[in-house]
Amino acid sequence: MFALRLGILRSLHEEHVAMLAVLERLENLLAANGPRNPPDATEESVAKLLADVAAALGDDVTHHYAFEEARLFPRFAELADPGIPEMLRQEHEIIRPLAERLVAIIAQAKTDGFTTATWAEFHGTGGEVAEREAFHIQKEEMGLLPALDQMLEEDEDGPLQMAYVEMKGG
Amino acid sequence: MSFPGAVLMGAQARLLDPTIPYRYFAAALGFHILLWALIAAFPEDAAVFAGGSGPALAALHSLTLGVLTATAMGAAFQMLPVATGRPLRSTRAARIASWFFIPGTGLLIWGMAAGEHLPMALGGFAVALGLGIFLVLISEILWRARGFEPLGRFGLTALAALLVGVALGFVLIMDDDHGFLDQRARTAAVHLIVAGFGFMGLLALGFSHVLVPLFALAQGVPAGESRATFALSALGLVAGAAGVYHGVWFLAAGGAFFGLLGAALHLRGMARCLATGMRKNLGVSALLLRAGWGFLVTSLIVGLVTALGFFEMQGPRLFAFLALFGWLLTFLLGVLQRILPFLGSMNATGAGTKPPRPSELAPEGLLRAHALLHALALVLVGTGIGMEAALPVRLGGIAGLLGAVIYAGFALRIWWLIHGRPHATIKERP
Repeated sequence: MFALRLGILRSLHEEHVAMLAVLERLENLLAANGPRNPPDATEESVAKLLADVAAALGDDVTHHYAFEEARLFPRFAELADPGIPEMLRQEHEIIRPLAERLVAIIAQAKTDGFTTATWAEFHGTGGEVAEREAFHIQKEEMGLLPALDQMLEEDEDGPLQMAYVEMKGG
Repeated sequence: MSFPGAVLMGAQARLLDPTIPYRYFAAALGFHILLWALIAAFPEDAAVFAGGSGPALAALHSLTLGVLTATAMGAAFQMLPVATGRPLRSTRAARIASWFFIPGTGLLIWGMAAGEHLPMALGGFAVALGLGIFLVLISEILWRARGFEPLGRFGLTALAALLVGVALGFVLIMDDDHGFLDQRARTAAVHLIVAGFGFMGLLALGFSHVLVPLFALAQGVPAGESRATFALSALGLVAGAAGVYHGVWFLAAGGAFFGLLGAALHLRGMARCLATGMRKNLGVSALLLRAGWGFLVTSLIVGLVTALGFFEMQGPRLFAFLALFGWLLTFLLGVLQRILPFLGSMNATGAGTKPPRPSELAPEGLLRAHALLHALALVLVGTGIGMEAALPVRLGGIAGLLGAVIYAGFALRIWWLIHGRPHATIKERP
């Protein structure tokens, strides 16, 4: 998006790019299969997509969100405006349970496939996650990351990268 | 901070009292319905319009002042303080501007439709006062935010064009009663070019530098390319207006040619934003934006060909129709389709409530129905103007009217979902 100076922000940006690509594939699956028309969860391309969605969301709602809330939002509030991180944190609170539910349905579908009921729930929850997450990423990509890139000092980059690696490793 | 996304950061903290932008947007929705209703009711006037008061002039100003300018005012009051980080000097003045501008536009349009000078003059005076306040407030923000180059350059020049356009409009109203102008038709044509391409056109190009990268999550247009677009567009505007006023048609054609070069450069940058952006699926609004850009190019080609003497009276009519209805109206409807749900959602976020989903605010079916009717209206009215035939114009007016009612329903629905309906609360993590 923007030529980001700091490595930690580039890492978060790359995760956003990957997430949007997965969400676009998810939206295509939902568009191709209405809420009453479950796809075959064992079919190779569907199974691969479900695995990718589960991996991306699982990682996003744990490490990515947690890192932002623990390390970046407080810094942004300190340097600029406390209202914005609070808004983004509230969006995390909205997306988190939806993403967790979606990952749980995927885990169940892996073994049992989709029933009409589970697919209908997946369809509604998946659509909502895709929309809300894309809107959230839009705000972070256009605002949070470029703003932090202008405000943070270069010597903060290394410790932040280390902290993120540790958070992911832990 | 000067990056396109500054429009988002601080957005909530700096969002205006929503009644300020929404009153302009509400007026625009009403005038949008009125303009198509006038075309549907008086198709003969629109098909052979050659200036002078009557329903066609009223419909034209319902579009230019009622829809385009009112939306530009609401959007500028709302977005420029957020995008530039420079607050409005006075929100009270922004409200006062609406008290003059909105009823003034209504009175002016009524005077134009009825061919009565007094309401035209009083309405024109009120509109000029409202626009004067807008001009002072917005030019001050743009002047203080000159660091954000594209907005400052396009915006300040657009405001200068607005000043000229309003002055010419007022002269035309006075001339309607006193008949002192030697070149009334040419003055009216310059008024159209300066207000349409100079004010609204440059403003649309400037806002595109912020909004299109924002919608597509893309890299902004490089500064050098933006400067070249501006230089070509401004040169085209000045040459076109001077050529038309003095009747030097190769100069007017040169204006259209430079305008085309500027448009081509601008569209290359916009196409790159859409192609390389992280968000690929931008829905119906992207269709409207692309269609609007197509009409921009078509209008300039028709203007060029008309200046070279290949069309009769249909040429100027089609040029004005393609530029104002095809380009500016279509583009603006596409932009509003994205920013109304966005602003609504920003207004709804916070205070522990769960905002509606973007698709709840902007249902695809409703937007597709509007886009289809809008496209049908443009094709039919354009055909009617080209053939000087009333029937296609009437049918196009009816399609446009239905589309405008659907669009107003879309906007009212957003208002209800954000402000009229209780929201679920967010469950915080323990």
